[in-house]
Amino acid sequence: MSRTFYIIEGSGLAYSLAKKLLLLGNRVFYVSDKKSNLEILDGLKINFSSLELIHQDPTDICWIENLDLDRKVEAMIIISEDDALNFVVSWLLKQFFKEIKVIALVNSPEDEIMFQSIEVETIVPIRWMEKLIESSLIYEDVTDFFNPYVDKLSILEISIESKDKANCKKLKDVNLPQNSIIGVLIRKNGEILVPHGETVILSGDKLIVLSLKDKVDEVVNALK
Amino acid sequence: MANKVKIIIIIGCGKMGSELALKLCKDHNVIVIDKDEKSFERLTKNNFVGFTKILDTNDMAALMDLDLEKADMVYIVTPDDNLNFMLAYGIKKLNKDINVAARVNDPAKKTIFTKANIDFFCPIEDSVKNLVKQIEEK
Repeated sequence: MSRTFYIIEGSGLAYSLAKKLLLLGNRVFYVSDKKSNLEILDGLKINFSSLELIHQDPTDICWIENLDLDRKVEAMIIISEDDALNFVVSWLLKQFFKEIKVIALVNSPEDEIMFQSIEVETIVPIRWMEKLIESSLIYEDVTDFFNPYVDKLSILEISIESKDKANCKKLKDVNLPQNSIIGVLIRKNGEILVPHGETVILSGDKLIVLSLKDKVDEVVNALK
Repeated sequence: MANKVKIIIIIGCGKMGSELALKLCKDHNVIVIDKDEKSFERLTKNNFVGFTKILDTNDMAALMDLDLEKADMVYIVTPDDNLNFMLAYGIKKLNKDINVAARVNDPAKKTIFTKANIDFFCPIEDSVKNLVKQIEEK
């Protein structure tokens, strides 16, 4: 089903995002006050007729007020490098179109509270990068990058080798601590399964383990 | 009490912020905030009596930590209308009783501030009004 997205401002990121959405068969409106940004996305028009470029100041209240958002608009995505601009556009959109989903890029994590106060969904890349770097510093197996509950919950990816305690054991015989569970098992050949008590863990397997943060050491100890 | 000494916070120490600070500091307690230390040179060169504070004006969290409630007036005078809006909106959200006046550089952006019930002043519009008035009075 074709859906409609508005992308507001942003340069390289807007290009990649628009391309992705267009490839999925969606309709994309790209709005920018900067000619140079529009030129970046102009190249996509050759392949995608469902892309429309609009040269417009997105903080113009009259323009927002008169937007024709009757057709099914999935989301308004505001991704300039200027948080204040993103905030103004988000706020204005929320004033006129309460029901529309607004997603805003937040460049400085400190500004996130502002966007939350007007009930806008936020993307905070610096937070993600922090998580990624932190997790790779603390446990090299942790895949916390995609984990929104990273403060309390760890998602571990543990590779089993022949010398490990869990090798050749049934899941029920592995003595995992409370508040931890092996959620997914990935065999050497790429087969993925949700293991049960009788599943035998083999060398070469990768285990995805969910565990409370303070149990991580015990989990590793029980398996490795 | 017309002569009461007031606590005034000025966010943005550009040409307008510094002029305002220098005028007001004669009779009031003035605190000027800017992200760039160099901008305070405009004040120090001109016998400023008051406080300066370096703070990233983009950092809403840090601004919220200031004792803005204690101020009788907060002027937000950066050259960026969007930033002025975000700051004023955030301060009003924190406490609607804080007196805030934001500078609007582009007269076309006035409606956004009106819609959010934020007090503002528009120097360009004021100058134009004055000029028109002067010519009509001649």
